[in-house]
Amino acid sequence: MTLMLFLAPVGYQTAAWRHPQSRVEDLYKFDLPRDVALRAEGSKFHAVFLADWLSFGSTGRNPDLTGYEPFTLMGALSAATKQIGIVGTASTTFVEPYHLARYFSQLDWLSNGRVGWNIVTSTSGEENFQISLPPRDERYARAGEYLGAVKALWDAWADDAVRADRESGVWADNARIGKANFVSEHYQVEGPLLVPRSPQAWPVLVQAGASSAGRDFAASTAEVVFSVSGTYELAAEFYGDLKSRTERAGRRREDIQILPGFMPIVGRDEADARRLYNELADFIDPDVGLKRLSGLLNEVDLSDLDLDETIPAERLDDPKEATALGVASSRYPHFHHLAVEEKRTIRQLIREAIQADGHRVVAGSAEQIADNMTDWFMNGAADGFAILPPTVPVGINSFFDEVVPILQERGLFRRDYATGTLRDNLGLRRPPSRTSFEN
Amino acid sequence: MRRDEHPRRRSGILRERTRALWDMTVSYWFTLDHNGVTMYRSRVENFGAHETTSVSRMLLALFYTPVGTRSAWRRPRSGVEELYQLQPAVRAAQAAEAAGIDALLFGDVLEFSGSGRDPDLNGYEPISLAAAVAAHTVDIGVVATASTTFSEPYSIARLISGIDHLSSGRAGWNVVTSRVGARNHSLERMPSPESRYLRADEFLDVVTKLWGAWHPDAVLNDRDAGIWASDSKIDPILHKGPHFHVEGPLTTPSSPQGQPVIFQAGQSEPGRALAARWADVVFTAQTDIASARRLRADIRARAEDIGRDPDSIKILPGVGFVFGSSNEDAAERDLQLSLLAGESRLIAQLSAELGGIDLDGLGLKDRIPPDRLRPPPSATATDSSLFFEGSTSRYMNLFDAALKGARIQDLIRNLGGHRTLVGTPTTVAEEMELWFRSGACDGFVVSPRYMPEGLDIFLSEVVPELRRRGVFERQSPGKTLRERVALCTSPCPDPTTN
Repeated sequence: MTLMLFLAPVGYQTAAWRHPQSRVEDLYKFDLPRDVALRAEGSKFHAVFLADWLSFGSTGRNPDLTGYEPFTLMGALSAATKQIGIVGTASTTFVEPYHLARYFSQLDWLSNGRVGWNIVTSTSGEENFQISLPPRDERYARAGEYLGAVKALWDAWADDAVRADRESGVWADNARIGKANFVSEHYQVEGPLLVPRSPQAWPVLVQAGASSAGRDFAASTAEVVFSVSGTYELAAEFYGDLKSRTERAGRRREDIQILPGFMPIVGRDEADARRLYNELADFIDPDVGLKRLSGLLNEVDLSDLDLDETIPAERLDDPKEATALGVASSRYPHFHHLAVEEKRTIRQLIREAIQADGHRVVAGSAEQIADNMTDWFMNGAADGFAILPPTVPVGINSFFDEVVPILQERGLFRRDYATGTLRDNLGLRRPPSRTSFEN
Repeated sequence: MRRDEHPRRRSGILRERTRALWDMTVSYWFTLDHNGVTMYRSRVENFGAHETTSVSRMLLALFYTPVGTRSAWRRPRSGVEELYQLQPAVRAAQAAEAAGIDALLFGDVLEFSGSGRDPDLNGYEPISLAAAVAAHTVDIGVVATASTTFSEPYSIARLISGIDHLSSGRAGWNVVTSRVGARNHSLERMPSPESRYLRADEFLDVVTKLWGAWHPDAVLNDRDAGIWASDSKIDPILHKGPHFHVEGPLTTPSSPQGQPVIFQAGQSEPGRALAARWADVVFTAQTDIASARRLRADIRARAEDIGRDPDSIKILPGVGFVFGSSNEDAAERDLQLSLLAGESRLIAQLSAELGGIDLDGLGLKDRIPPDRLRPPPSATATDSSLFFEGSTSRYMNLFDAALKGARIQDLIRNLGGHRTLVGTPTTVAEEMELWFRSGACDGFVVSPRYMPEGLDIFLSEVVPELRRRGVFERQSPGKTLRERVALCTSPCPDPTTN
């Protein structure tokens, strides 16, 4: 089982910073994410995951989910940890491929081969970059070009180009350094980079989109997928579909690992966990919650409704249509189901939906949580999990201290790191070196 | 009382005037014989003992080169096997920090040199490296170079602000407009210098506005009320200019320094104007004291003209080192270090730097016959096939030296862009003090030509010598980089007074 920690320094839930023991006063300093990453490393997690937003959420009620700038945090974490993988989010829309290729190549050197790139195409942020975002499908087409450019840059040096031969005075063999010479509709990149091919050659390629275009992109490209599935049925559907798409794209099923987000709320027993769940949900300010719920429900207007009412079905877009049109997020069908079929009140929906933004939440004893994870893992819904900390440090430490040992005892999760790179630890292949360097 | 009316200041100025006249006469020789060992020895003796009436302190930044310059990687302890990895950078940073160096500067180049014969001087990616080094240091500033030509202000503002947060207020940004890199960024050729500097000016405007968009006390952390930050203290910047439309704000609060320190490298006309407007620190390439004084005076005057306190802008020439047990020993080591690049390669490079002249049949001990030299280009020459921007002064230095009959072995030792001091740690410290006290600079960007030994000697011998001379007092710990920089100014307030 692969475990990746979503590094939310004051908790994943938007208001979790209000927890009395949160370290919100340390937010944006380095010590806070460093301490969390070191705890995850102590628990032998495969990786930490750094999300990113390029646009300010317009309200100061709660800090942005991660907020830290990923490239610089990855650099600092590379220096402060030794074994854990570090996956950072970066958009193909706002950064030149040459820069992004350099950042990841250098980070891979600094971390001795432990970085991954969560490839996003961005759905916001245009207001900060004097551009208009292309429609989703075109963004993926462009992302494909972009990926071609950065891979060409990562591959321009042969693995054996550097000789460092003091005697003859040849540092690197020019005949083993090519150009990238990548040309596409949107990018022309000559290369090569200034640094030799890094330990992993390419960072581990991670992806999170779940639309049809996103799934195809993942099937052809991604090695790890961070997915959103609120229920076993949704998870199994996604898992099966993406594995078959991957095979159709000419890759093996094991070339892609699917990690649904999972928020564990660990209590002494079920009742204690329920109490912790409610304590966390109580932090959500109803106004903030309503706004976010409206966003999760495809921007439906809820302002005239009472919090204890249900949402009239006719106000909500049909989930199949909205998904087909590409106007709804991958979370939408789940919330639509809760609102329409399960008839939850707005207040209930806020508590449920905002807790983990549509990801699976399980509140229970350590055994119950381990059982739940085992169930998904053994039954075709997950290759592992992206663990979303309910609160930091209290909530996530309970998971490290109580759930991880159970998974280890069951033989589902490893007791130590494998030697080598993040690719080695995930059982992923290192891309082979180019063979021809004629330009 | 105006500062320059203070009686002690006045006598200081008189002293500086005398010194300046002397500098004018020796600077030419100094350029001619770069190592100038005997010459600067005698010159310093002429001044008598170093006077320590002023307690001003120089600003020292270390330019990080993992294995030194050119072919220094061939030396046995160069550590070339660890090139571009974390450990050499962390070792250099921690050693520099222990010695009280103010900042580490990470350079940047956006194009592979085209030859793998030697590693590129600073082939590393500076931003991620600066962040990594910040994690292993506590006091030293970390300054990363980033070009305004091939990136977006929102991205750079975030990256530098990110380093400032992670380092608790030690970040700096070295602003460059890039001379190369077009073909790595979907462009056929580089934009003209004029258009690059226009973009840079607006770029800096946007970045500094983004850094200021969150009021320093915007974050409340009020758990009970459920208010993390006060919306009324977070403003979009709503910038609309010819190059950029940026709404802002950043996603993170104001960083510890608020405005991270801005370094600017480049001394062309538009570069100076940009520096005067935006820079806290200017990183220059100056090889002789007289022109360094003129440049510093010019930048200070430009800053004053637009209403800035000239002391708020610090001028740091780049300087390299080669050390020896005696000055002669150092000169010999310098030659050996240069020769690691290979005699024929060096002569070919010298030929190229002198405009492609014929050096066939000449060896290290030979002088270039004057009839083979090509006259220098006129000041208005724009023949870019021969001279890229900024290299004219370098050409002039080499040309003058060759005309005065310098041997090829001395010319090839000086092919780099920055000045190299060659001598014992004491003579190097003397020379640095002289430049500092005479208003040629407010400090230096130092770059040992060989690593790690060059850095070790600088830190263990030159730095204590500077401290004895009263020009590099240890700063108290816990300062931001901005606070460190503010404290450092040459004691010579008006370097043109001579």
